[in-house]
Amino acid sequence: MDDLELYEQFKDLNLRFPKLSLEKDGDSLWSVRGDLRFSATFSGRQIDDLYSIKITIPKKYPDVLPEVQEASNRIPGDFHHYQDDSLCLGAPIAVRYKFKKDPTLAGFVCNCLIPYLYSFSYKIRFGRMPFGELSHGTLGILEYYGNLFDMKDRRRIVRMIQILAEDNYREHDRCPCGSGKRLHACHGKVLRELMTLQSPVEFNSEHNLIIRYLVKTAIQGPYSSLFRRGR
Amino acid sequence: MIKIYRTDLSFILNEIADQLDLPDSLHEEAVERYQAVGKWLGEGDSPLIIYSPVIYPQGSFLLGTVTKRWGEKDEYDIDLVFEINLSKNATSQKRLKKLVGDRLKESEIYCRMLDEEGRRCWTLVYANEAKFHLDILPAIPNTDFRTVLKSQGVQSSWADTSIAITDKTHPNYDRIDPDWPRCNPKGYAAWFHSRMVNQYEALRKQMAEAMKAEIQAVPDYQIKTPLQKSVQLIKRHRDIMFETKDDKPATIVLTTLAALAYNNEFDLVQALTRIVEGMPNYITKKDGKPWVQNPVDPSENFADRWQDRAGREQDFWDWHKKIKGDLYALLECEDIDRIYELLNPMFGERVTENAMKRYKDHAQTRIKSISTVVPIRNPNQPWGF
Repeated sequence: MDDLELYEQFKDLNLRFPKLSLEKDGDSLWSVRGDLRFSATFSGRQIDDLYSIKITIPKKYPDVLPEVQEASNRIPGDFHHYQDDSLCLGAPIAVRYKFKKDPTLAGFVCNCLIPYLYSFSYKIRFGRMPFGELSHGTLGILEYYGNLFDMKDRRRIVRMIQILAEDNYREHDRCPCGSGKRLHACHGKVLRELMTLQSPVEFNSEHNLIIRYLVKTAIQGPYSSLFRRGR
Repeated sequence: MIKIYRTDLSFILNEIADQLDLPDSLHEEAVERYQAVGKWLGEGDSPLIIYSPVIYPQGSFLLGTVTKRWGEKDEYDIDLVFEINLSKNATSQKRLKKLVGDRLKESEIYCRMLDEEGRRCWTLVYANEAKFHLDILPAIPNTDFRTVLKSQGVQSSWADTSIAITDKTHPNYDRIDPDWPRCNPKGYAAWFHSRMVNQYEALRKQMAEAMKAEIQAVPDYQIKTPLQKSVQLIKRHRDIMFETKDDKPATIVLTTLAALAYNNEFDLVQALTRIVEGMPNYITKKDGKPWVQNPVDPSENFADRWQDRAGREQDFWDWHKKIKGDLYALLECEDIDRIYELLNPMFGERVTENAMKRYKDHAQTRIKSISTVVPIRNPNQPWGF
């Protein structure tokens, strides 16, 4: 994205959050910094809060998503952070999915960042997460897909991801969810949307992670029986 | 370090600059008018036709920095060069001036519009709703001087447009002599353009995309870079500060210093701040005198006139101190009603009021679609390693 396009996006963001600035130091990346003061509602409960943030805009934005750091140090490191200290706004595919709906800086802040900050503020105030949270690591990704597909059976979820990993979407195939319907009449829509967000290679690495995770937990876990068949 | 903030202020200043500018329709009208004058002077039964005459704009009209006159209602100065292919060996300044004046007087229309003879120009005053003052500067090519300029290191595409002009107060005014007053409006405009070319091209591309048109289809005059807008704002600020005085810091000095200080900023607040802060750095000293070099004629000092009257130099510094103070007060002010009170004396009530209204409309339409409270729908659940 060239500077002028980014500037246009920033102007819209700045209109709503006037305490933010767009900054660049020499050859470094552009970043949006400052105080993000917001009011947000979820299920009728409004929270007003303020966080100091730094949003780093990658060179390949908007194909690659911005990273967010919280500068006021209110959010402890054990609350959904990546190892590099940036905030973990959701499972990677989930954030991309959300961002795609309004792929602008204002969209990113309103749809991806503010819900995260809201959930932290909410947790501090009311002692629980307002819209739950995913497990850490691979299990969280599996849970995300489960929620997205509205499915519980892990084998079926894995088969769904396999379609994406093998780049093998055929609309007349039966949907792996078990409904008995063809894909185009069932989970086809969401699969096709997912295909626009990640490459098959990326789905494949997620698929492999999940398989490895399931195999590992199968040895001790409750799903052990699933992976002993055929041997 | 680039830090862009206060884009609300940028929006408002952009609107003010737009208000000061010549509207597109008037631009087209001005072009039609001057082409008609050019036709009368240089085509048909004009005796000047044998000198292959050309008419072209110069000054702020060519630079894209036209600024509505302060006070009077929508009046604009359009500066033109009428260049004919005569040699300095073949005519005196007086004869050239008279050739052009006589032809204008031959026309029934222009005869009536002709103002009193100026020092260098003939002025036509259009008395319609949109008041143009067309200043026509008779000129001939300054062929021998072009070589001099190149030897002084001026790039040849800029040097090759140098012209010789007339001046009633010049010692050689009424005799044939190689020493003529000179200027180079086309070369200066090319230099000015080179100072903003990156933003100019970027804006042109952006406009072409918005219009879904070819880049070439975007008319030059519709592109306004932050440099051009800054110059318009600076000129208006000066006009207001010196409204009761006969004399004020010269446009050419302000324009040159602004173009030198501009560093490719794409945000107007950034550009204006950089320019206002940087302008003094480009006033040098030569033989103890303040010097603002003409970038396309190194031996010309735009600040020459500062020597003519004590106080001229001080006027510039007083103005500079004032605009700097005004600008900093603006940057610190976050209350929109107070911003209006600050802008009003800087740029005038009418333009400020219109600009503020445009800003409020803009903010409303942009924010209305998503209410100020962010509604969270289907949020992502936080995740981590």
